[in-house]
Parts: sequence; C-alpha cells; structure tokens
Amino acid sequence: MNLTILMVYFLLFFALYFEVFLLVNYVFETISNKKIQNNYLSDKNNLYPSVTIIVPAWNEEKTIRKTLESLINLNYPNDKLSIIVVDDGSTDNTFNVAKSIKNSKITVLKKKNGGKHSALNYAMQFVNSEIVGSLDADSFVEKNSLQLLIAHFKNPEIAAVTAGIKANNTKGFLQSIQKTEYDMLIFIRKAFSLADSLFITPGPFSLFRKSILDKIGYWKHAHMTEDLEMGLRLQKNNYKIANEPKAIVYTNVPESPVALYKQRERWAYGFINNIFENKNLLLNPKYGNLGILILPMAMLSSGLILFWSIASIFTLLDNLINLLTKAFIAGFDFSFSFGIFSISLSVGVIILMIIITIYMVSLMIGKRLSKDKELNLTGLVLYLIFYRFFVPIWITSAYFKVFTKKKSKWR
Amino acid sequence: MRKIKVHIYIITFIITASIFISAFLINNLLNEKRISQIKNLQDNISLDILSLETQFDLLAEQSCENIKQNSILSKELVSLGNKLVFMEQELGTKNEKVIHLKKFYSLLEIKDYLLMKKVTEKCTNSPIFILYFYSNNNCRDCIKQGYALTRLAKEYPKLRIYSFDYNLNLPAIKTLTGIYKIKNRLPAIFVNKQVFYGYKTIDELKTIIPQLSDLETEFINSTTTISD
Repeated sequence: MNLTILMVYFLLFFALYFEVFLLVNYVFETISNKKIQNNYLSDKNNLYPSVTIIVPAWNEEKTIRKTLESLINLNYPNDKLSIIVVDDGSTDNTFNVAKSIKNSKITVLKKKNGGKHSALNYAMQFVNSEIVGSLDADSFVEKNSLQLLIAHFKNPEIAAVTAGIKANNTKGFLQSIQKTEYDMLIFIRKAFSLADSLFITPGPFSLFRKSILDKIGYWKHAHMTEDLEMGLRLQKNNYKIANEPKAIVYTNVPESPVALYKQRERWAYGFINNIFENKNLLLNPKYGNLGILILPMAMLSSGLILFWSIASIFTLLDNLINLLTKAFIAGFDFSFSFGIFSISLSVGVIILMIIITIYMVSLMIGKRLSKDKELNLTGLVLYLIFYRFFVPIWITSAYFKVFTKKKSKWR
Repeated sequence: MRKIKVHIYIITFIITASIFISAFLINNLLNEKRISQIKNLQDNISLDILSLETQFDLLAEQSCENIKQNSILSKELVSLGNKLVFMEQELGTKNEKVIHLKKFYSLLEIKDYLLMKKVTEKCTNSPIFILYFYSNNNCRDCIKQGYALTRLAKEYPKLRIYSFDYNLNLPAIKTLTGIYKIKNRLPAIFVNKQVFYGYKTIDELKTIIPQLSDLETEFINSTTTISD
C-alpha cells in the first residue's frame, strides 16, 4: 500500500468518523437533554422578554417589504418587539420602501455605507431590550419562529440561538441544489449545537442576549463574515449557542452562477481567515468538542472536499477521454460486462457510499426536525452529481486570495 | 474547561472502525472471488492446452482437421485477458496476485502460440499470428492500440492475437522479445516476421497484414479489450 492510498484512507476515516460522531452525539444528547430541554421549553414563566430585531439593508428594495411584513406578523406581543431597519447607504429605494411601512414597532435609520457589521453596530445604540436579533433584509421569518427561539433563553447558559434556514427561491437548477444544501445544514447545525460547538450565528436570523454582547463587544468586519466571527467569539468566551430547527427563516439564495460564486468565495475566504485568526481554538481541549474535533474537521473538510472534487473531476474526464478514444477507434461498446467482474467496489468506493448514506440520513433527520415533509428528490440528485464541480472553484479562489492577501468582495 | 464525553469518542471510533473493517472485508471477498474465477479459467485453459499438446503428440493418429477444430485460444483466452485487465484496474498493476496471474496468462499465451505454430507447419494451414507488446507505464498509445486490436479480433475471429506486458518480469517474455528483437519502444506489433513500433490504426493494420482479406470476417458492433 503506497503513501497516497494510505493518506486517502486516513482522510476517509476522519470524514467518516466526523459523520458518525455527529450522529452518535446527536442520539446521546437528544436522549439525555430531552428532560432538561423540555423543562425549559415548557416553563411558562417569563415567556416574553423584550426583543429588538435589527434589519441591516443595502440595496434591498425588492425584498425588504416582505421581510418587514414577516416580522410584523410574528406571534409575539407588540409591546415586547421592536424592529430597527438600518439602511446602510443604499443607492436604490430601500429607505423609502422601509419608511412606507407604517407600523409602530418599526424604526428606520439611515447611515453612510460601511458594511453589514457597521449597520448592526449603529443600531445597537438604540437597543434597550433583553434580547437582540439580526435578520437579513432578503430573509423572511415564519410566524412562530421568534417564540420558538426565545424559549431557549430560559436556559441561563444560552447566549445566542440560531434558526433553521431554508432556501426561499427554489425554482431553477442552482436554487434546487442550494435548497438541498440548506436542508442538509439543518441537521448539521442542530448536531453542532448539541455538541456545544455551533460556531456561526447566521445572518439570516439569529438572536443574542444583549447583556452578553455588551460584555464581549458587537459585530466586527471579520472579512465580511461577521456572523462567523461572532459565533467564534461567543465560543471563545465559553458561551453556549443553541439551535432551533423548527424556527424557520427563508432566505433568498443566489440565482446566477456568478452571484453564487461570489457568495461562497466570500464565505470560504472569511472562514479561512477567521479560523487562522482564532487558531488557538484548534486542537485545544479547553474548548471541548469544538476545539478537538469540530473546528479541525471543518478546516480539514474544505481540503477534503477540494481533494474529492478534483479527484472525481479528473476520474470523470479520464473515463470520458478513454470512452471517446475507444469509440473513435473501435466504435461504441455496450457489451463489457462479466458478472461479478463488472462491479467495481474498492474500499474507497464503499466508504464513500456509506458517507453519502449518512448524509442522506442527516438530511432526513433535518427534515424531520424542521417539520418538512417535502422531499426535493431532483435537488438531491443534482446536489450529489453537480455540487462537487462547483466547490473547488470557490475554495481554490478563496485560498488563492488568502495567500496572495487579496480581499474578497461582497458582490 | 469544557467537559469532553470520552465515551462518545470511543463509541464513534468503534463504529467507524467497524465500518472500515467491513469495507475491507467486502472488498477482499469480492477480489478473492474474482481471483478464484481467474484461477479456474486458467486451470481450464491449461488443461485444454495440455490436451491439445497430447493430441498433437498423437498427431499420427489424428487428422489435422480434428486438431484445428479443438484450438482453444479465441474466446476463453480473450475473456481471461479482459478479466485480468479489470483486476489490474481494481488491485493495481503492482499487486502480487495480479502479477502472478498475469505471468501465468502470458505463459499460456506463449504455449498456445508455439503449439499453434507447430500445428500450422504440420497441417499446412496459414493462420495469422500477431504478437502485441504493450506497457502499463504511461503508454497512451498502448491503450489505443489495445482498442484497435480488440476491434480487429472481433472482425476476424480467426486472427490470433497474443498480448504481452513488455515490463512483466517473466523470463519467457524476455526470451520472446530477445528472439524477435523487440525493442522497448511501445506499443510494438510482431507480425509476418516484422516488428512495427508505435500506434497503428485499424486501416494501417489491414495494410500491414494483407492476408487479413483472405480471412473470414464477422462484423460485430461491440468490442472488448485484450489488454489495457
């Protein structure tokens, strides 16, 4: 067995270990936490703390009305909910659209463009509530989502709660693939939170205990991934982040390949930089599962995905070239089959099949957790076939920018 | 300092290791089955060759027609070659078992070649023999040549093509390349007492071997590979 094969087996083992760990930990924690969790969630005292939702917006005239309407329609006492819209120097009609929605809960502010983090921080000077949240101006919350999220704050250890995010626009090739990806992440986020290792407080919708933000500081630029940096900072300060998959927020996903590339490259770029800047978390047992397994695996997985994607592209191309060469020389051959011999089942293929099966199981658990009964089979097939071709593009580009010290752009 | 639940890590390790071991066992089981299939096939061919050799020794008492009808190469040996190519892809060209099977296969080919030559002399028929030498080491033209020869073998079922891995460490192949002065410029084809180097298209092969037009043709749309 040569060194390359050994390395591949080693990486496959870790990829599989990680998947199995999330499932095993999910099962154990769900069983052992059920009673405690139920106690908190069914506690009728102090049901409605005061909440402020900040909506940072930059050129979102098309979506902001729907976003604000979804917030107004939340099942939450009027006197306990405030909404602050911050127009971050939009060049379109965002400010006027937001202003045109007449509701006592909404305050609309305007400032010079400075990035999402600056818009959130600008609003913080007007926040007096116990809980503060952020909602992207292209995302829409379900009616009961706030209540479901708020329930977690009854546990005094919880500093932030994240929602179950779903793709809003799902018609189209890219959107269908992204829908499956978002559905997969529903389980992953829950599993991470149960392992006390959720390290992102996603922009589409997350809530925070304001007193804790006052202590650790507000949002930072953080290579345009302020939600990742905030999650990491909370973890670094040993605060807990919960996840509520039943609290659904729908977010608009990129529809064009260029927009998707830019978004993912920004995420990957931000991820690499933020991890480098918080490298003391890596392999540090002081941070529990996050330090010794989740973060190192998240870091390794970008390399693993890249390796797997490139390897499968090369294999596919090689097979295609061989097939075409053969067809060109000797015509097409569909008779190449000899029973057991035609089944190619290497150890790598078997393990990959198991990893994909675990992914499927995770997807199903995620769907169950978020009470989603619809199975997006087309999206799943497209995701499994095509996603690998896209990933290396933005990961390579992000690493290239990190090493050449170029900055990633928002859009 | 956060609490780490070691038992979860241990359970995860046990499950992961079990999956890995099972994958290795399944893979091993499949490969063993394939190897035993190849061995059986080789045993059968080996027996056929021995039988043919014996028949040949008894030629005085046999008619040439009888021997020609019992010629065993063609489909069985080609099928064995295909299976070996598959095993090479699965287990790698450096796998000991694959190399061993390949050596045995090459010896069977040489024995069949020699026997068929003897039969030809004795029975004065004129089959066409092609000795094809290839390499598994970065030889794109060898892959193409394999496709072209396979196609030709399908078109002319009576054409006898013997393929040899030039770099297989087998004294009999070394002797063969020594006798016919085959240089390490692959792919190489020995036919009509001449050596041709480099990739030859089907049309070029037909020009090189004019006797092909005398052979019976059998047009078949599909092809299989003799060697990689």
